[in-house]
Amino acid sequence: MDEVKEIKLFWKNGCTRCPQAKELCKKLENEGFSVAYYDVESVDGLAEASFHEVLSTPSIIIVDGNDEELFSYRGVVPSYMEIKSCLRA
Amino acid sequence: MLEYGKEKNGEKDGDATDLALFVRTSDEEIREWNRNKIYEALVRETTISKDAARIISQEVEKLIGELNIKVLTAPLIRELTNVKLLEYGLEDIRKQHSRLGVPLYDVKNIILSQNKENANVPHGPEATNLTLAESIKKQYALTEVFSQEVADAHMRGDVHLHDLGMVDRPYCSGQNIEYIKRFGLHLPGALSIAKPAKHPEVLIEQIIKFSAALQGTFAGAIGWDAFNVFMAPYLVGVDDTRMKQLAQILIFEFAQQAVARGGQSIFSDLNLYWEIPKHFEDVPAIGPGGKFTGNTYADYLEESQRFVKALFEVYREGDAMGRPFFFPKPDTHITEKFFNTEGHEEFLNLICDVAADKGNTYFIFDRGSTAKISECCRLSFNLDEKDLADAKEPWKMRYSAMQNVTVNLPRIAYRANGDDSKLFGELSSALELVARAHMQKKAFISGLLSAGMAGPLALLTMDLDGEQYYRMHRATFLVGMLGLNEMVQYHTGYQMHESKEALKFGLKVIAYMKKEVERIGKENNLRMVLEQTPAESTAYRLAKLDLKYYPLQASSVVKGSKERGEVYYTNSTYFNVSAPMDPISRVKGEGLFHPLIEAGALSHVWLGESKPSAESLASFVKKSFYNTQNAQIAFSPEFTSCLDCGKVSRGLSEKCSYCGSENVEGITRVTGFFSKVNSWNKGKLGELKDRYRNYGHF
Repeated sequence: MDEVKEIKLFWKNGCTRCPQAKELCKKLENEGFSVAYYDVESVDGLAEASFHEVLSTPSIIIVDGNDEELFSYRGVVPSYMEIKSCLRA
Repeated sequence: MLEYGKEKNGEKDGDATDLALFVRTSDEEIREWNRNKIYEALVRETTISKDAARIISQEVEKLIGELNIKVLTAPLIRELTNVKLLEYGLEDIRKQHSRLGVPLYDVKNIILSQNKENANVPHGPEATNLTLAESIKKQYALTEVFSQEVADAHMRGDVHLHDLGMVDRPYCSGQNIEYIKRFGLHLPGALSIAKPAKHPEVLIEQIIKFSAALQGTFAGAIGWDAFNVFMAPYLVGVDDTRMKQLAQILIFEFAQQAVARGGQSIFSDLNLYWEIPKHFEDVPAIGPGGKFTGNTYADYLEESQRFVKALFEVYREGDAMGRPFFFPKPDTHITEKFFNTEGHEEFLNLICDVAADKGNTYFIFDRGSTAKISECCRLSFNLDEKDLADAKEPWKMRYSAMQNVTVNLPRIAYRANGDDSKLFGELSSALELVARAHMQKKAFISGLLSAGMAGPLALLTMDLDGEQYYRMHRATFLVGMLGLNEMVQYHTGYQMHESKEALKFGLKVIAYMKKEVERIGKENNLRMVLEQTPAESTAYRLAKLDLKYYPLQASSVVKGSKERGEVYYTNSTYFNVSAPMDPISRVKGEGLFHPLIEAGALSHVWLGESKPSAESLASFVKKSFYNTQNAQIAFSPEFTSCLDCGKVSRGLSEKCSYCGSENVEGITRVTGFFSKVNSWNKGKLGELKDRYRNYGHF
């Protein structure tokens, strides 16, 4: 697998599982992963969500250096172990 | 209304009162000169003071006396009066006293040559009536309906107000045949009234007539929702031969309505389903005689499917010469339920065969729980909760777009000159202006509707179910966009298919437009939504205007051939039509924009002379449904139809491949519909030469 460049979290206010996804991403950020947070109700967030065909929140998209999607969790929050095993793969 | 005119009969020049003058009136009489008529017209038509009107009329009389004109026409006297008004600094009065009309030269051109603004208008006396009437109504719209600010923005090309020549009608509409099934054909002012149809043939006739009546009150498309589903209760016990016959009657009747308004076919859309859409399953069905059958639509799946198959068999055969039918457009909905309904593989193959062979099929993707109704070239509405409640009484499902206004995106990039914040600021200003244009149109149409049965839009005010036919509270106000690709190219240096950053910037622009349109719409209490503009003439008009006002900037990004004058901007949010992209990348890439464009989007796959297999298109359609966000796709083959031997060959060529005759017509999609290439404007001809034709991809 190509190298993970960035983790993108797509969230919005009022989404019940978004805080959980944010917490997970913060943890990964603290471990040294680059994380970008996109509020899909902002213009930039909506544009980025459109680019990755994100239609539900929370969604986590992991991309390589060419902004190509390596894997994603759409509308679901993975467990820490699950995402870590993918990030290590 | 009186018009002025004179025939000079006297010998002397000088004081006009000494001359024997004659006035030609607009009611085709010749009356003796009476200066007072100028005075009366000024006082009647304008806010001028009586004293000033008297002075102006005296001055005009004096001027006419001094001019040695052999034949003085009515419009000229009015213009001379206008000149005097200007000399006195009375510009507002001059505006009120304007005469709308068409120069002789233009009338000659209109009568003698083809209308190139709309490829759906053939040439003939009815068509020239339409063009002449439209040219006057356009002037009226820009003088009276819209403010000077909005009219000037249109004329400069900052925005484009669509269908100005039909300013006295809403833009387009979508509805349900349940209205006709339940109430019969009961049109205001009609000489006879028909009861609800008892037989499918009669129902079809009533639908066609009602469509023609609606065409007279809407500028654009007339769409019918879930057409085959609602026909079904009339088709119980109908054998295959008659079923095919009914499908033929329907398609030929729509296709040959070029005897209607302006010699123009009804721009008609039939929304079709293989399954019974979920929101109609439990709806009580209306059958022959307008009576409830006691069943629900779920009980008519078999008839509904047999009819839609028959329709596509007729599309596959084409007309008597084997050419594709231009109208009605079959808008086929592909849904999750479609793939779970028995027989869908066979049906998908049939409609893909039609797409490959004739190109007719539009594949509309309704993913998840979305329910859509499609109307115009690509206009569609997602049905919200209230609409789904209306679906229980489907005759209530009457929707309309009031107007479409398109923003010239490349011009905003020229003005911003590389500055992001300026670009988004300009975009907001343009959208605010669009909202003002919509408010003005809404006020004008509301005024016409308020005249009720005595007014020009009587049909739209008829009330057979406790509600006016035209439901203003459900009207949408469309905001179109043109040339996103050229805007992005000028601003970032790359076209959208060339770099991810450029594509992302394009998405940001449309996301910004969506947000702004929502905000501005809310502030103005308007249901404003984004739509991909079909831009049949707009793509050409705005490119030409930008080459005039921003020659350096526009020259660097405008598409087509400047030498031949065949210039255009890329439509709406499309990628460059000449980019050699594989079709799935194009459908996926263009589809990224579609969820942002609520009122409808479409991707074209140009096939040129190739004829892929039905199976390969079916596989492509499935991939597009499951792996992209694209809202709608259409495959467009090209044809050459020989007017001598009557044969049709694939591809566009100068000569008939069968008999060698040069008496041929090219046929393909211009924007969202098929038409004859010889009726296209120069911009579209330029685009046609550039289209990447996807050879070898299927």
